[in-house]
Amino acid sequence: MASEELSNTFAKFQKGDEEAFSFFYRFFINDMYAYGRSLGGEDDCVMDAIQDVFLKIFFNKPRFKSVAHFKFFLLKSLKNKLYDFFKHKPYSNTINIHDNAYNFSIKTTILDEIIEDEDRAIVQRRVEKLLNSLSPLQKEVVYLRYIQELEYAQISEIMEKNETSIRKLVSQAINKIRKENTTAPSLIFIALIFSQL
Amino acid sequence: MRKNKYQGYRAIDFLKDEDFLRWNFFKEENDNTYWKNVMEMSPELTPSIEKAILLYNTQVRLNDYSLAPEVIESHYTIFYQHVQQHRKRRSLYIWFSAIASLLLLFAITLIYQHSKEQPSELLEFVKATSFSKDTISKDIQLLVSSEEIIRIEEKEPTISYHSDSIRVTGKSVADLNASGYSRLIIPKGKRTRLTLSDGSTLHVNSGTEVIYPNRFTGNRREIYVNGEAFLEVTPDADQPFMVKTRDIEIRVLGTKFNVQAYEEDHGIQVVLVSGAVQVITDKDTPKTKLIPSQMYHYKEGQASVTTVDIEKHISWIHGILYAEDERLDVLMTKLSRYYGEEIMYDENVVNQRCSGKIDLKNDLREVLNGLTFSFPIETEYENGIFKVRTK
Repeated sequence: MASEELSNTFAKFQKGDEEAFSFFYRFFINDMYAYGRSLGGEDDCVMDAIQDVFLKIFFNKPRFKSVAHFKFFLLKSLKNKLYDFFKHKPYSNTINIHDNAYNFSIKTTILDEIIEDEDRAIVQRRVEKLLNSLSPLQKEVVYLRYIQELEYAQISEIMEKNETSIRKLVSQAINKIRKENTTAPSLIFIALIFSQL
Repeated sequence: MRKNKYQGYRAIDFLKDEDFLRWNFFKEENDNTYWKNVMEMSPELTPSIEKAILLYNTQVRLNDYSLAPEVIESHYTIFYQHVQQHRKRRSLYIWFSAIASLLLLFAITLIYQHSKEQPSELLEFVKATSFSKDTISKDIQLLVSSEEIIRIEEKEPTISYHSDSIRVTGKSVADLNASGYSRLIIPKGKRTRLTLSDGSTLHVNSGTEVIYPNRFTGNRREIYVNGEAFLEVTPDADQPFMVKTRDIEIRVLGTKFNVQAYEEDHGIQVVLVSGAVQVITDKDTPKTKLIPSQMYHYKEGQASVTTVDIEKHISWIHGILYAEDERLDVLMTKLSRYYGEEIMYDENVVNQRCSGKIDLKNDLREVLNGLTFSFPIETEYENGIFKVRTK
């Protein structure tokens, strides 16, 4: 969808247009579902939470600055909703998630087109190795920043931590990955090697 | 001299390289510089690197929990059903919360008549509300907010909503609070012609209550009618007009029609004069479209559509009541409502049926007297109550 078309639909949505609403419902549901599952929610529980979030938006009609802001709001509301569920509802199969000790996970999938099976397994292991060196908290920050592409300020609101510590978490995550996985020399060293070629 | 580490790398080899993966994931500035360097130093690697980037972007998915399109559709359908349920609940809540402390005239009848039925949310609300005897008033009452009640003694006033004020028979009686709701209660024996903020008019019959926003905002115009009204709706395709009653909902573009939905009568009638309306029951049944001269009748979950003589259904606005093979007791109920007088009748009246035209400009005594010529009944006026007995 062209970005112009998207912003037109967004403008309609802001005016309360139900068709535009249903468009965004379908537009964001996969992002929300993925975030909910990453947080450790079971399928039915995440689906219920998504519905609740949209119901609230449908009736309260909050104002959003942009499509990105809308998405941020959805993810934030979804997380809050899931916590409510974990606290109040006995979703029997769901692991109990506490505020600080939940199990944020990042699952890697390599699509089985183009790349051969054997290679695919190796690539998957490598990516997993990179990300598994991170703590759940770092994983969530990294996920929100690099996969959901939220801004630091938004992440800080979702994670209920100040922006500085979010930035710190991200850079720690990057450094950790760099340290633990790098076989290649540091930047300066590399520059030296190449200059000698 | 060290050899270039990446010599002979194919795209897939880059994809297995952790530095390459990290670069693609984080797009960090110093990694950017590093890889730019690599490509500058070994231009022959550039196609492989570019292909590897493409592969990374298209084939590597992190937390790829996506839903099948049909799952999304069914999820959305369920969502929309919830919306409809909430909507019904909320609209009632909004309307009734604004006037929470007041009793409606018909509420007594409602509780009395329906006490054996399943409690509705409306009923529960009414039950939860404290009663004040004052509301069984002989005057027309216009509640423009929970604090402000305008009483109108006139028998057939006109009430109109202007941009800044509310006028009763031409005189400004209140400033308009654009965001609020109004509630108009017409007691038995009175009627009114109401003009809403969009120019739509309602002839509101006796014993009727209408609730509506002081100004229509949003993408629809919604009003609530408990009783009888003849509506002439100003067309506005962008803002459809909706009339809600206890059991059904009438969706309108621009049209003239009569709705009769007295709580105490159980049945609901919608008669279309011109234009088009859709009637929606709260069940999952499809909408019913009416064409002019059709009457929709709804009673206890059963709906039917018949062709009728329009004039007979809207003549009340001109002070004429038509009866067509109508049970005499039903006619008595209508007369009692219209005149605001109590009429007592014995049970044998139920067996009489009548057809004809009654001029409502005559007083009730004359009207009842007229009936004694056609039916084996006699009437008597005693202690402020009309009594009708079969001979």
